[in-house]
Amino acid sequence: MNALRDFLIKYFHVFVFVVLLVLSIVWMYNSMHYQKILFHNATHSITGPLNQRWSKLLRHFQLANENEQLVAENLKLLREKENMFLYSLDTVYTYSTKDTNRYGKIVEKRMYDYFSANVVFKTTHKKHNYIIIDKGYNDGVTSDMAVLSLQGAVVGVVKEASANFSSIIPLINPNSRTSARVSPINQIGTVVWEDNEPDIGNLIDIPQHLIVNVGDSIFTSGFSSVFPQNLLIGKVVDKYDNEKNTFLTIKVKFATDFRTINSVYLIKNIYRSEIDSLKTSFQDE
Amino acid sequence: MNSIASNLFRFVIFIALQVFIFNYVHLFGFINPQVYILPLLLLPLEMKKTFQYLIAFITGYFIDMFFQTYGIHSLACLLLIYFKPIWVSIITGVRTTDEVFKPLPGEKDLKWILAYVGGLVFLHQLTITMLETFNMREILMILWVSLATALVTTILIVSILYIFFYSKK
Repeated sequence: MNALRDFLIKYFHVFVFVVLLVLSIVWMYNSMHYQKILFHNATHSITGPLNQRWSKLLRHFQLANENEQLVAENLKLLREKENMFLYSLDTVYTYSTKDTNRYGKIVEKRMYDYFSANVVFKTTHKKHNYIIIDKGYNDGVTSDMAVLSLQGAVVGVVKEASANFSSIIPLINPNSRTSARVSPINQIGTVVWEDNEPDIGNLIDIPQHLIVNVGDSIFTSGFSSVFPQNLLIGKVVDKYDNEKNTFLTIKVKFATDFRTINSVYLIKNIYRSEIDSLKTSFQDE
Repeated sequence: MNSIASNLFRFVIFIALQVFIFNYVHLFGFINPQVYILPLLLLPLEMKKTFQYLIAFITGYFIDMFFQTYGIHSLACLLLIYFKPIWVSIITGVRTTDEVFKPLPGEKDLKWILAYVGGLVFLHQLTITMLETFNMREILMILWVSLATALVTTILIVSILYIFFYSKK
C-alpha cells in the first residue's frame, strides 16, 4: 500500500501533465474551427471514398422505390401539360390561350387525365404483338384508352380491360392505326405497322407532292379522341415514291423501345362518351 | 513568501506586457515575439513539478484568452515546462549540480543563457506555429516562421534578463 502511495506521489506530476495536456487539446479542438475543418478533411479523405462506394451499392436497393416516386412525380407534371386541356378556339384573339369566363377568370376544362401502370407481359417479335398491364377496370381502365411510355412517346391503345388487368394493342400490331401529323408540314396521315420489325412502322396517306424529309418528327394529330395532340410517335427514317401509288411510302422509327418498356402511362379522355355519341349518329346513316 | 510574491508579480507584469505591448508587435508582418514565457524560464527547477505544470497551464490559459487561440498557448507552455529539465541537463552536461538553479546573467555566462533561452523559446514557438498552421505540407514555412520569431524573442528575453535580472554574485 505504501509502495502504491509512494508511486502516486512520485509520479503525480506526470498525471497532472497528461491531464492538462489532454485538457488543452480538447479545448483547442472544440474552439479552433480551422483546425477542426482540416481534421475533418484529413479523416474524410480516408472514409470518403469508402462511404461513396458503399452508398453507391446501397442505392441499388432503393431503385425500385425511387422509380415509383419518379413515375408518380412525372404523372403530376404530365397532367398539367397544355394538351390535357380544352382551349377556346372561338376568336382570333383567344387562339391557343386558356378560356376565360365573364369575370375574366381563366377557365380550364380538363379533357385528358393520366394513370400509371406496370407491364406484366409483352411480345415484340410476333405478328400480332400485345402488352398486358397490371391495371383493369377496377382501377378505372376502359378500352380505347391511350398508352404512353415513361418518356411520353406513344405505345398503343387499350383493347380490353378485365377486373385487374388490361390488354394493349401496341403500335407494333397490324391492327393498330394511329392518326398522325408530320411535324413541319402539318399534314395528317396514319401510322400503321406492316413490316415485322419491332421498331419500324409506316406512315401512309401522305400525298406524293408534299415534301417530307428524313428526320421529321411525327406526332399524334389529336383527331382520334384516343390520343391528345402532340404526343411523339417517332421520326422519319426513310421515304420513297411509288410510280403507281399516289401516296408516299414513309418509314417511321418509333420513339418507344418496345423491348424495354416496364411501366406505362394511360390517358383517359374525360369527354370520350360524349364525343362517341355524336359520332355514332353518323355511323347509323 | 517574498519569493512567491515576487514570482507572482513577475507573472502578472509579463502577461500584461505580452497582452498590451508585444501582441501588437508584428515585425515584417509575421514575427510576433512571445515574451510572456520569461517567468516560466525563471521558475526554479526545484519546485514541485505539479505546481510548475499548473502555473504553466494557467499562464498559457490567460494568454489564450487574450489571443483567442484556445488551447494552443496552454499546450506550448506545458511542453516548455516538460522539456525544461531535459534541456538544462543537455546544455550543462550530464552531471547533476547541487547548486540552486539560477538561469540568470551573472550566475551563468552569456553562451549558456543564449542556449537555454533560445532552445526553449524555439520549442515553444514551434509548437505554437505548428498548432496554428495545422498542416504538415507547410513544414518549411512553419520552420522559417518559428526560427525567425524565436530569434527575435530570444534577443528580447536575453536583453530583458541582462537589463533587469542581472544578479551580482
